[in-house]
Amino acid sequence: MCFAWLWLVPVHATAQEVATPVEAEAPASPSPRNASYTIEVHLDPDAKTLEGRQTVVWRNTQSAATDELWFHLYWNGWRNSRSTWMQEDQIRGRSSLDSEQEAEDWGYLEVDSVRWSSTGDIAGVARELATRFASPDDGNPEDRTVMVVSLPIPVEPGESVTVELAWRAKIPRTFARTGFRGNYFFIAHWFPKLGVFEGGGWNCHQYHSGTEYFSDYGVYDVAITLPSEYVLGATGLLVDSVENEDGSVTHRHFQEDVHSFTWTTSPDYLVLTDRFEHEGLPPVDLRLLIQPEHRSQAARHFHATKTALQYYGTWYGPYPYGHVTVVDPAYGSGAGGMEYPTLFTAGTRLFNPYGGGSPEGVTIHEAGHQFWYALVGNNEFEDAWLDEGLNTYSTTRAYDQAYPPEKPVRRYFTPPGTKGRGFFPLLLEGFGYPGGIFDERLDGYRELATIDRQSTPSYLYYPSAGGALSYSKTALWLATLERHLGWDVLQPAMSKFFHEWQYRHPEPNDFFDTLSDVAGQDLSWFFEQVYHSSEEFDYAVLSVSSEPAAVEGWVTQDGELVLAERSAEDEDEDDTAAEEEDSETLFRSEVVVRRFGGGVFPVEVLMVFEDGEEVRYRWDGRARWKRIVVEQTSKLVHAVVDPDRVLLLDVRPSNNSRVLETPDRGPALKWTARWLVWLQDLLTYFAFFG
Amino acid sequence: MNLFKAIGGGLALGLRSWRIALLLWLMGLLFALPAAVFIEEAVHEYIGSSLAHETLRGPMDLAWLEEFLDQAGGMSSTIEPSRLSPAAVIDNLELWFSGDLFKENLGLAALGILFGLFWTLMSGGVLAQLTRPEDHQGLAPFLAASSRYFFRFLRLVLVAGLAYYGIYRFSTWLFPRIEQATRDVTVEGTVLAYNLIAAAFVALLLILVKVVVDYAKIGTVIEERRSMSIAGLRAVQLVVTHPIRTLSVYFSMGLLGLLLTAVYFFLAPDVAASGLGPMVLALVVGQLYLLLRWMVRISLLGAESIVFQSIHGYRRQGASRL
Repeated sequence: MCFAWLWLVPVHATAQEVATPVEAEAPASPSPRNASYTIEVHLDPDAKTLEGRQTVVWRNTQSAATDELWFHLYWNGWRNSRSTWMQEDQIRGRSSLDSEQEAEDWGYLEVDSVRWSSTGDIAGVARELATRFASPDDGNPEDRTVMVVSLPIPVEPGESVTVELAWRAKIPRTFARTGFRGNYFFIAHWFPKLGVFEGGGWNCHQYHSGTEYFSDYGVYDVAITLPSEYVLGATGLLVDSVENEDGSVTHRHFQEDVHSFTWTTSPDYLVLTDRFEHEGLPPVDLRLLIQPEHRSQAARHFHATKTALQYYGTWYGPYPYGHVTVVDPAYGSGAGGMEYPTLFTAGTRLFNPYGGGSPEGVTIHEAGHQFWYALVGNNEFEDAWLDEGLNTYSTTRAYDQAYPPEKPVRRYFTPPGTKGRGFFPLLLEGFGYPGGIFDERLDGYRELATIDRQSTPSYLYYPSAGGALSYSKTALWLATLERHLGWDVLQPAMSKFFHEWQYRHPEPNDFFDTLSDVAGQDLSWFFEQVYHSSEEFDYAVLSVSSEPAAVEGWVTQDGELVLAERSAEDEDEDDTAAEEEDSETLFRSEVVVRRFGGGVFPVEVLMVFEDGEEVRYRWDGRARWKRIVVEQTSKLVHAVVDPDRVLLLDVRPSNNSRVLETPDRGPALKWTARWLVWLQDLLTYFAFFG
Repeated sequence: MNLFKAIGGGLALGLRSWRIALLLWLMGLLFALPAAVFIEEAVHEYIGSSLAHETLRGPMDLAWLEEFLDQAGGMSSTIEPSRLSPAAVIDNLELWFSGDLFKENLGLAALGILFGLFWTLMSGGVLAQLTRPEDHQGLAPFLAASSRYFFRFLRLVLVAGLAYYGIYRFSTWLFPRIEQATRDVTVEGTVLAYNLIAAAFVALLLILVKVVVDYAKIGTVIEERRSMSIAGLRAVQLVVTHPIRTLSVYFSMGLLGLLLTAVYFFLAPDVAASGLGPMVLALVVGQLYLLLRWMVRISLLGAESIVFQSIHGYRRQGASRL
């Protein structure tokens, strides 16, 4: 382990003489505003470059001093093939390093100077500050995504420091949803950005291909200079636009209490507006930057955004910023489906049919990130599941409230040999998830269920495991908790967590503690399993039987041992009784339930009898197997473990039930008959070549 | 001979040759059945004694299917939702166009190649029946003609196979180039248009080879040629000198085939329906569609035979020159 934040900074005696004191002890703002930026940036759309100057004011909110500032230089992750981001991306099997990579496709962020600009002179101390690169995660000497600035004097707790940076950046062809395609630009995580000083050190991870971001809240005042024909979408609100002598325009955006600033520009954007209004929630102005060819899908984008604002707002807490920009990225730009403060990208295709979940699903999800991540700002490098998981769970619920069940979509006309997906989508009728809306998440989770513990820092996950562990697993265990505790417990718990951790940086235990607190019970047994272990859950009904209740062997009768033997006549009678369902006959029904997985969860076992009676048996689920015996005047029909599908983490729900009578082949024949037509049709295509 | 007469004559020949279509459909079914038995067993085994045997009578439970596919291997892994629906026919069109037909699954590719060889065998009998019906009445003459031309056709198919492979390699070169050339285009509609034009060009190349192969076979049967090189060259000459007539017949009949596919796609019974009746109906409609596809295929060969005879001045339904 080589985390920057483990390193303690020595305290210098002269610190208080020069560092800027905090203006007021408790700023009257919702967030600490301890990392604020004033940036001027100029875009050259032909050269695909940015030139920027920025002033950073950072206040030390911790109890330890520091004489360094650690900055993320995210775009250096795409500087060359030796960066940690690119190396990991190759392991993920993505094609960022394909043979078609051209010189203009790479990107970088080069800091030209860092100057000390805090008030007060320091005799004998240069204002030009020394910098170096650090690789706290993997020691990769060729990674330049973390820059350390040495300060001439330490910043004591409660004090502020101001530095000015001048930098240049080459905009890459899209990596990680950032970059250009033609005259379309999506500019995210683009400026030297401070890490988070916490626990006595800097939490400033290198840029990894499988993880996202972490930063402090502040005030952003950003002036962006563009050619006049370019439409701009950005975090915050437009304060003013000034036409320059060279024909360019400088737009100034301002936003308080956010932890990042993102912008996008293109001459092609169509700008549409709408307004979210819902009783009990503050109104939100919606600004949609949509591709002209998607004009007909504008209402769908607005509706999905309002769905998120309404349900997340009602369930967890109101969206406070009053405005949000929805971006429909350019075709093939790879910038879709990403969240930034007060701005997010959705992503759709030309012919996306209503009912297939796109763009509605991604729009709700990214709008939902305004709550889980923009407002509750956890560390995505280490605990990505905390926002992605909570948000995936919430997205699924919100979608279910507002839309009919999603149908699978098959896309056709994928040009051979390309990375694209088919141009023509087709909704498939007759398919669904009768087990519930969260079943869709099970497929992504099952294969990687045991690959790692969720508690492993996200940036250390095997590069392709993040989706299963952060998104699907969390959504499934939250839905399991919802069914176990009830929505009336989980919803207030999540709402409490949301309110308590707005504009702050919660850690996993903060969430667990809130849930246990609101539920009024210690849920650590559950979190131990779903968070601290990689065990999978798999309960199954192994066998069922139901026979007339007769005994063979020695029995005590009137105080004497008697051999109870079954004659042929008895067996005939039993068979007759079974067939006639004689109400006098007692049936002894036996169900054997097994726990195949390592995960333990209390489950119910449902036994359904021929007369319609149902018997439910509660099992703590701890033992590896359990035999349940019930004597009824009716024969058992089937048994189901976890009949209400509380344990949505159960990776193989198909083995949760068992019927007594051997089922017919009807379903297998039905689906095989369909498949047969496909195969026969396929064979006729082979005849084309003959 | 105008286009409509050729198509009309081809369709009449196709209708008259319904027994051949029936035979080809039946053979297709027989080729597919062993795989279907294997699939049925795999699905039934995975359903086991679970309650899925009730839920799967209606709509397909995707959660169950995904769980099944997670453990499935070989041919069982080819069960995808679209293939269980009427969209199966579009899936196959996509597989054909992309060249993935041979990459989908090793077992299926082997089965498909066997079926392709079977069609190569049968096509001699089919063409003999279409061009000289009076000499090939009954199964024995039909099979005799099939075997007579098989090795000649096989040589032709092997050469054509090289041409098809060349087109496949060309398409896997062409489309990535388009992707590369349009990497700065931000409008999907524009990129789609470029790809559609390229796809039309690749499809035209495939069809050109196919048409040449068809006329080479027809020429072989009508002119009793032993040299496939000469038959092939004459077929090329025919297509080059009469491109409108030869290609328009193919495109017209191809359009009819696509129309038939579209009709099946829109009329095929609902996937979600449960019970024996809907299951049998779906099977019957599917089989009827396949039978009709064979009739269209035979009609195409019939129409092409008519065009060939017309261009070369052969008397219809006879091998001697007028």
